[in-house]
Amino acid sequence: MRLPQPFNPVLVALAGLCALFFVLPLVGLVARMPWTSALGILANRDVQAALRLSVVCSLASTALACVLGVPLAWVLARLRFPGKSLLRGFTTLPMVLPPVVGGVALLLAFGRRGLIGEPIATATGFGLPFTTWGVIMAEAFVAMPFLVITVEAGLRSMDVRFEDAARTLGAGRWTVFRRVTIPLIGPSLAAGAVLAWSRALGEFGATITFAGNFPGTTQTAPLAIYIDLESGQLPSAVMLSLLMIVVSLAVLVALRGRYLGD
Amino acid sequence: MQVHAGRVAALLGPNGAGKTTVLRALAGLLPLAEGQVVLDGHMLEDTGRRLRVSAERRPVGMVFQDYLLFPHLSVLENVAFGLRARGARRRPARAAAAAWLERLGLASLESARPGTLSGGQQQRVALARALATDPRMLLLDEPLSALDACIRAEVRRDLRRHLKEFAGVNLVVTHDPLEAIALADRLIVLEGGRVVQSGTPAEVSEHPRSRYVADLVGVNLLRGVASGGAVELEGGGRLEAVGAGTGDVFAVIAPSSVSLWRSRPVGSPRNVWTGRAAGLDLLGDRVRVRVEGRPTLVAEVTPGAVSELQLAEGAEVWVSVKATEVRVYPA
Repeated sequence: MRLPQPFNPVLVALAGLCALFFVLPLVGLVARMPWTSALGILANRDVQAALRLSVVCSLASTALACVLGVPLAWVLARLRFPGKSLLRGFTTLPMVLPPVVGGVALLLAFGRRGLIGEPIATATGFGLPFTTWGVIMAEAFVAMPFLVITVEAGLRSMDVRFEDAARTLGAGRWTVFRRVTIPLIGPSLAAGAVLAWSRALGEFGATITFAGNFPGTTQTAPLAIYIDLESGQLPSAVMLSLLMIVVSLAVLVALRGRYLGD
Repeated sequence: MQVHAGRVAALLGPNGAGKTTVLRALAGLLPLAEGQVVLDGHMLEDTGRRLRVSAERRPVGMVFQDYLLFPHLSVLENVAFGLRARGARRRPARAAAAAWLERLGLASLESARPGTLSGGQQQRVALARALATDPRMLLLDEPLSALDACIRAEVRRDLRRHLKEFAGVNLVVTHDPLEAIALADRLIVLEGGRVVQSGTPAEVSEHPRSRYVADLVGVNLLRGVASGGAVELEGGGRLEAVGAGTGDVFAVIAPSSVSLWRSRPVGSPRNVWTGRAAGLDLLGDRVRVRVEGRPTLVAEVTPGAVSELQLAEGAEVWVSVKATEVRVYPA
């Protein structure tokens, strides 16, 4: 039961101002929505390609984040070793780093002249930058920390004695991990994956720096929006922006309903 | 520590005595620092030979204190878990699990989630889950402590019946002596990480060998050196006792055989000394009085005697114990 709160007009006025700050830009977008030419814009191949790339790359980078990020979260939550806090610092750095800096760093490591990129390029002729793989990598770089810290928190709050119980029942370490640990941290894993995915979907700076801006291979929706705006194609930019907003809102609502309560 | 198959042993001890640690070590969840675990002639762990069978390979079933049923699985899946983990196919594992649930009277709850069950039902599911893998040793950690007091007696009766049916080694950990006596044929008393006493409940309660057991049984336990029909007590004082023997001994005196007087008693009692009443507790229709002196003892008197003796905290009293009421046995 919630007790009635005393009314504070100053707080309410400031809160209203804050709400306007968030709502007005959205209203502005909707007001400029090119309803009449919407279908024509959606039929544009570059727009379609940008949307498709955004969806494919964000999902792929989320999958990558799950496959590599969950083990890292497990190591951070369960093992004790020297330099652990340093490792945790490195893995969460991309959350605060300007994404452009991340893109530059990726380029210097995996670019054709990069630390690891150069030997790979000379051996196989394959270069990550300016390919769709590059987009996935840039998005994973920026999004993975969200999954790692969420899953690590889930692993820490989980009662590890469930794993003991599974072991006394004859379950080996993989069975324990697959059938007990993962299901028990399911909510954290889902929340982390959705956070990572939404971050990857909106990724701009690292992507344009590391993967470039080639329609059809590396131009995701955020890049397309920026380019459209710069080249005077406002209706197309507004259309794509609204689509992104709808997707983000849907994710937020789904998350709130399932994991944040209220 | 030795436990026989087909019988129920209870590991009894105060909080922090290391009871749960022993169970976890037997289950293989904690490595031994030093020692051996042998089950049915099979070596499970031997630190001397650096041999250690991991927890998942031990033929051991464990019922945890708060049961730890997997919340994401149904009751049936919980019970089938062990069989599945040991490589059984889904269908036979489920059939076997269903048979166990039937046996424990849980058939109607197959598809329920553990969170929706009562404490007693959860306990039986945990028991079914542990037994389904056909273990040679069953370990139960405080199996009744998570239950409401009102259903504890009934669940204890059921549990006792199921434990009797189990042919393997049965070890129950508890801090509740009543539970230990109700469930087990044999008590093992653990204090400070060491076994201080073991035997049948009657043996243990007749010959307490530690303060903890003496408190459980409700008798005064003293220690000293016997010679010539008397015991020189540790911490001062001397008791005459019939059949005191010689050497290091324990002396036990029931609180009801301790008499209190306002003035020095006349007559036969051989052991008479003065003390100071330090604490009075009403226990049913009796009052337990702790009398500090040489030695310090607990006496049990009637409320009438308390008023007659004008007993209050700090009051000076005479204490007497007949030599025939002091039971002495070797330490």
